[in-house]
Amino acid sequence: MLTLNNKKKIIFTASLAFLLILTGVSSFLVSNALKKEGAAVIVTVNGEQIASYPLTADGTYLLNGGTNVLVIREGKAYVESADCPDKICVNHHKISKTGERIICLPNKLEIAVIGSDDEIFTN
Amino acid sequence: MNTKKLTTLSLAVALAMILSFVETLIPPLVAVPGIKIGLANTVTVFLLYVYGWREAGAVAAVRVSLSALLFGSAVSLIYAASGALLSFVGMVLIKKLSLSSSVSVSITGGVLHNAGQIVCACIVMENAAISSYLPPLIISGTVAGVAVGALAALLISKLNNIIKK
Repeated sequence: MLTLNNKKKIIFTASLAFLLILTGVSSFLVSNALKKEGAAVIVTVNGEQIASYPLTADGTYLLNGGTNVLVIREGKAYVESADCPDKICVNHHKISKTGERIICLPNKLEIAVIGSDDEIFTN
Repeated sequence: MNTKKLTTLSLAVALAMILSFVETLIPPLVAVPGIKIGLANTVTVFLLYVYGWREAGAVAAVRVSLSALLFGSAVSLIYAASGALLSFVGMVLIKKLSLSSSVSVSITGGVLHNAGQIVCACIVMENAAISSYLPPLIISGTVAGVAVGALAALLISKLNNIIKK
């Protein structure tokens, strides 16, 4: 029944959904626009950095004893294979901008892109 | 509590557990961890309207604990519990608004559930970077919330009289 109260409820619900989607889309667009090209990736396991690799040189690296395989090619980094059950890290798109990161929760592993003006350049 | 209510609530727990298990069988459409339809929330929303927040909260608490015990680990329990707690509080508060409906309640529940899990992940990983997953999770949580809310509304209209009799 389209009573006035029902109509108000529909408008309320629709506005709520619209606002949330708007928030999601705009925060996504803003964060994308703010990204800059990265210079290297830092690999952390369990919060501790175990390695870093420059994005300028191609290479394949076995991380964390081989649980995840990192590939750097043409300035982008991605996970080629992993032993985790969900393979979210493997299906992740290639990352190359500062702030982007690929996370493998089961292995507590994170590959993060840092810029040339960021600190920590061990290795 | 009478026997009929006890049986109904126990059935609700079992149903919610089955729903959350069935969800794990659906291959992830998007490669973002935590994206799910939240079908089990249908039960919580349903109970919120047919019984009240105490019954809905009890069933949700039992369901989260049992699901984690049976299908998950201690870590998954923390994530699920934080998501469920935040989403439950939000749903109860939104429901108090006169303009709310089962759909707006379940949208709130879905989005807050994801938000709660993201916050928990940030704390566990001691890294705020995971919050970059929030935008797609908010969007999918809203869309899923609409579907779940509509389903719950349908169930409420059909089953309310039968259960209350």
